[in-house]
Amino acid sequence: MSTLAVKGERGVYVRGVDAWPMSSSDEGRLSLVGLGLEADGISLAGRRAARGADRVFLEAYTAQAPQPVASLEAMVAADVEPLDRAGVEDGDVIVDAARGGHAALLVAGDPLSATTHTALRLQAQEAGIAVDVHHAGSVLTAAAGALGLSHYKFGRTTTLVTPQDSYFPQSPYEVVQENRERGLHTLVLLDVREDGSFMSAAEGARLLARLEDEQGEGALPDEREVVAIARAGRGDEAAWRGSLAAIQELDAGEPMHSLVVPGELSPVEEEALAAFATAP
Amino acid sequence: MGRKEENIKRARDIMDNPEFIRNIGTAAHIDHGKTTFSDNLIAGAGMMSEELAGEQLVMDFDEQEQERGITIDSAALSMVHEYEEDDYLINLFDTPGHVDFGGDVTRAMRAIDGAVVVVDAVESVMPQTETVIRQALREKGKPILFINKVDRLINEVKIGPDEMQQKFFKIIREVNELIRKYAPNDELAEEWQVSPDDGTVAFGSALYNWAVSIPWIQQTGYSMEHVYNRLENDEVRELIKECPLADVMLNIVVKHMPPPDEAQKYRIPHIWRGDPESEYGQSLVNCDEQGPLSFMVTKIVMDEHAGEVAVGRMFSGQIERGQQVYISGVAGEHRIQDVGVMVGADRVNVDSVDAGNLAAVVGLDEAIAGSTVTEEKEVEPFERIVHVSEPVVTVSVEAKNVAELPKLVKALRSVSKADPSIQVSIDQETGENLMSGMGELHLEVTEHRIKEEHGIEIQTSEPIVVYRESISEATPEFEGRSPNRHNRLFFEVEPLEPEVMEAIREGELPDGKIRDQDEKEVREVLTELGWERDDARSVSWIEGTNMFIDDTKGVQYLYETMDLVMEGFQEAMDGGPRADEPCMGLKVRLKDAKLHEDAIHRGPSQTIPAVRNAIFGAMTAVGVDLLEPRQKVYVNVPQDIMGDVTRELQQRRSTIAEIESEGESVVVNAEAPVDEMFGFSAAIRSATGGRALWSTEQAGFAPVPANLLDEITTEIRERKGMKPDVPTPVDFQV
Ligand SMILES: Nc1nc2c(ncn2[C@@H]2O[C@H](COP(=O)(O)OP(=O)(O)OP(=O)(O)O)[C@@H](O)[C@H]2O)c(=O)[nH]1
Ligand SMILES: [Mg+2]
Repeated sequence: MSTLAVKGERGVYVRGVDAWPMSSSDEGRLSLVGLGLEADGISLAGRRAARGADRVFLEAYTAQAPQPVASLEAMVAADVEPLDRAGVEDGDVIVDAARGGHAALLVAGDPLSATTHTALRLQAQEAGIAVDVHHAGSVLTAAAGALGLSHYKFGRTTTLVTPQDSYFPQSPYEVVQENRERGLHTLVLLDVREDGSFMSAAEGARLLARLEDEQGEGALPDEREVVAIARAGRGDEAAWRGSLAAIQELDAGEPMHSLVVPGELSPVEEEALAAFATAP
Repeated sequence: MGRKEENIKRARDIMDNPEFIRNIGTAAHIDHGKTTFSDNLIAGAGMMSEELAGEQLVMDFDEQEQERGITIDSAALSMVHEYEEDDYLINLFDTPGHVDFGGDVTRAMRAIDGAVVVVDAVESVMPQTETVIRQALREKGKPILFINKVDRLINEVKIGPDEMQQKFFKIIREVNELIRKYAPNDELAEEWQVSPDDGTVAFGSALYNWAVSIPWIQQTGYSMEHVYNRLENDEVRELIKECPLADVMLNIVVKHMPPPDEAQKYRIPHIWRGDPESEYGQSLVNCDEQGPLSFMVTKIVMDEHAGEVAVGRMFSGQIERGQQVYISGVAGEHRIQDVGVMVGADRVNVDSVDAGNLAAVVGLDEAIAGSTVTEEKEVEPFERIVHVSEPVVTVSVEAKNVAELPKLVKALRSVSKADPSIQVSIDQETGENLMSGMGELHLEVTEHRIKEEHGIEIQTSEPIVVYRESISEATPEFEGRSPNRHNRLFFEVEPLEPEVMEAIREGELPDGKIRDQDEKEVREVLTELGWERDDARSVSWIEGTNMFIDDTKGVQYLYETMDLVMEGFQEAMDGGPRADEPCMGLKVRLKDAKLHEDAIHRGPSQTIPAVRNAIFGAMTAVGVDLLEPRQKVYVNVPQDIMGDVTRELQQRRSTIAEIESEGESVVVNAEAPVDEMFGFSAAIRSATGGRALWSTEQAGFAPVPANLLDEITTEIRERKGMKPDVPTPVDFQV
């Protein structure tokens, strides 16, 4: 490991000295690195791990990477190889690359949150490969934070899936309903389709309305207050609060979007929401 | 106005009066004389010149049919017959006899209310006779019997009157046994027994255009002896005048075949599951031409000018030009461009066609054989027409001119729509267009059709057999994981009981998704066959001869993932683990499932592979069998050259079951794999100088011999561009 002292205005920072010893193994090393939500949202430790790797992969099918591949390549000083769903899920390419060397997988957001790469971690570990994880910002925490909603008051998270002939899951409706019954907020994530397109907040709201139509349990009437958040954790983050009917008409701009169906709001939450979200 | 035109006019006058209509069809073993018989009826009724009947085979108007001397496509035709001073309109479907076209027969049976079973007096009841009687009865079509080719008994077999009578009795007895065996209920089994005394049996010669029945004899005063003497003295010309086939037979048809309004009373509950008390239901039962439209398409024919013409049965209401209609299973409205009735190859346009008739309709381009056409949306459609087509041969089809590929794809789609027994698909690996059918002849005929009707120059591969994959013992439970490993489905597979497979083939069980309204019936059929109630209740899908049983209880999220599980099941059944050939005879049991919380992590790309992994992992754990289709072969050949036939058969891995002698000829009964039977037609012709008559029948599937298993498997896998090694359970552990 290179040790290079950098003298800054406020003192000396020694690069390459880990606060805690990195696990390592003769069998190889795999670094799971979160890219966070915004450009340069990677942690310093994560970046260092990626820079030291022989091969760097990018998982980019569950969320959009916060910066272009070229910029990532400059950041980690290596070629970045994007992998599709099959490539990541199969795991063999990554584990083979880690075997006897060092591979890194860059993941938009946090590597072990929304889409967990736990299976990959297990697979590597079984092969005797040491795995280190570098967490980063995730929409799971950022959305709540950005809206001033208390993390402790969220129920189960759910994702809306673009309806297909043989797959139109209704369980998101049940999740919202259950959470609401318990006074809890629901974070509703929106589908990233196989073709790489993203479900918009308006589309998500229309889908919720359709679920209400089909389920008819009254959890999501047209006038239910819903919050839309776009580009959570980025500089151009924006949020709106309005009725389900109004959010259906919303143009929230660039992806990615998410929805929150609030439960009971505490006074602080109420104040925060009023301040951080605008009318659509 | 010529006689034909005049008849068409008379026909139109009757069309709105069900009492005076009869819808019938012919049904027989190949070459027993259905088409000759039909031609003579038409000629006798004045729809064609009498001299041409039997020579020209109007009903076999297709160029290929004329060339090959067999019927390929059922043809509909209407004629008028006067009986006891009233005019009757008789709509007739002449059906094919060759086994390859069995699907066409089944579909025709939906349109008609009765069938004239034609039996060759010399050959007697043959396997295909049994099949067609079963097909007719399954649709509640009433049978009557015509014993044909009686001239052969006298000229060729040279038997005396007593022996002849014995021969007739034997045929009648056998036919009645079959009616009893296949009748839809005990009451009809008795009521529909045929007997010479009441005139439901007649005999004669379609070729020489005469027929007799007991009522005819009684009415005219000619005795049986008289008929026999005429034949012996070679006085056929006189006999034709005394006992003309058309008059004798059409009298029988009018008297014994039910009119549509009567037939629909008992046929509708059998072929339609809607509410009989509803307005629509009542109109169907009563064949009410004032009621709402209900037209069932049983056939699609290609017309040079009009394109696709939907031919079928009007069960209720009126169909007319300009009408806006719905087609079951197809979105949107369709406008009727033309309606007509079929007269052989000709479609005669009329303003409208009423309930109880056969109609030919232009403007229903998205209809297939089996579609229900209604004026109202979302009306309960008719039961599907049961004909489990289990294709046994396939060819790859290529356009000679690459630029014509899109045209070819369209043509393939069109032929499979016109003939649902043809299945088309694209090989995932090689990108080839594949066309599968019931036999070599079936595919040849269809290739010809693509060339002629669609004007595309094509090239086809040698025919290849379609094998089946199955297992012969129950598997252990196997855990199938999704690629993201978050979803786990646990499956077991067992061999399905042969009785249950038979019930599926017979249409006693529905196919596809078991809907709520089918559940009770499925449960009853299966418990009857010895299944536990719990199992019988848990069947959720039937795909080919494979069943899906859901054994799980209260698995979270399974309900919203079930359609995907079914998709995975269907895909697995389409092509099994050994060689990607269709599966058959499997009882696939979902034992348990563990699914991801969030719907996004158990979509199609996760669930479908998990199901496939589980089913294939389980199957490969006990070893996957490869089954080959087999055929029964009946060869009728003069005794002195029998050796040429048995020699030819023995080269084809066949087993000779029986050799019967019939006068101077012998009938060799054998069974052989379809794979070995390619080119048999030419081989037997050259071996016997064309003196052998032969027919075949499907004989199901049997495991390929152990010494050929590896060789055949490798051959298929190579052809499909698959990895040479047959997968093992490890390959399905993610
Ligand atoms: N001797 C004799 N030959 C007959 C008679 N009826 C039909 N044939 C002959 O039998 C052969 C077959 O007749 P078709 O009418 O084509 O038989 P089919 O049942 O329509 O045949 P498919 O439609 O191919 O099943 C022809 O050569 C006819 O001339 C008959 O009454 N006597
Ligand atoms: Mg014929």
